[in-house]
Amino acid sequence: MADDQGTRTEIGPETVVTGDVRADEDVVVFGRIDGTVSSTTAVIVEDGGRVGPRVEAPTVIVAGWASGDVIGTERVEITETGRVLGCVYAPRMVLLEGGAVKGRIVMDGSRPESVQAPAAARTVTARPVAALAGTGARRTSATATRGGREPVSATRAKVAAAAPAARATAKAGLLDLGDEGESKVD
Amino acid sequence: MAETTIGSRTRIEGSVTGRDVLVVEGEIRGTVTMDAPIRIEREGRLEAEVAGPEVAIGGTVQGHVIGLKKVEILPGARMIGDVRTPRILISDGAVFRGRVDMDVGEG
Repeated sequence: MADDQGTRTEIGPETVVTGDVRADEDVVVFGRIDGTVSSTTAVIVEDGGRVGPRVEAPTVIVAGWASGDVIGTERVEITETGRVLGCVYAPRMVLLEGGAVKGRIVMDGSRPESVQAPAAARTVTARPVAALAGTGARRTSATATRGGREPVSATRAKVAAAAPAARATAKAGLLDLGDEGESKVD
Repeated sequence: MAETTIGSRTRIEGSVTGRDVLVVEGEIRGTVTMDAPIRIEREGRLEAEVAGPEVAIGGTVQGHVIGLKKVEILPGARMIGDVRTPRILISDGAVFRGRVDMDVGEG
């Protein structure tokens, strides 16, 4: 394809992928991935989307459901509708009010023991959030069928702008967890 | 109808199933079973068992393909494997090696 720049992988709302997904482009999940997802740019789990048991990328945004290890080598963001059941590994993290984590949040730079960071993921230059926002512009039809809620991948700029406030309210999100969770911030 | 797109820089090992239209610009190894049309673009590479109502192949496919309604092998395609479908179109410029079984009911 001549125009490689606009490409990304998008798992539709009625699609299930079982196995291993590796990408050198953004992966946007409206449907479900049972297995591992890794990208050298970003993985975005939209509201209604499900991934697990492992997702890894420089930027991981969870507006849907993620179980297992969520590894953001640069940052992880959990939106108002996001749910994580498992471990979040990220040097920087945003948890918006309403988002929830049941499990651990590890921000000390350590990673799941059995896992090595792919060399490519380390060397990729961070993409500005604005660039991610641009990738959402192509979504039209699917957005219309989703009851009016804009996909996170189309509203990245807004989410980023809300980020500082989110840090202050992150605790509120953790209250959703119930009492069995071994929730703690390392 | 919503769409699933496997981008040109993505590789999947495993299975892809569902009711979305599937467009493959990248690579899939495993099985692909959709209840909606499947289109393999020129850059797309499948090493897979593929089944769908309509399968359009513009890229490279190695494996068996079932098209419940039809299969199209487009110019520039490279298809190695057997095809089972009631209607098949093989374009000028396509490479196809395999058997064709058209003795199936419309479905």
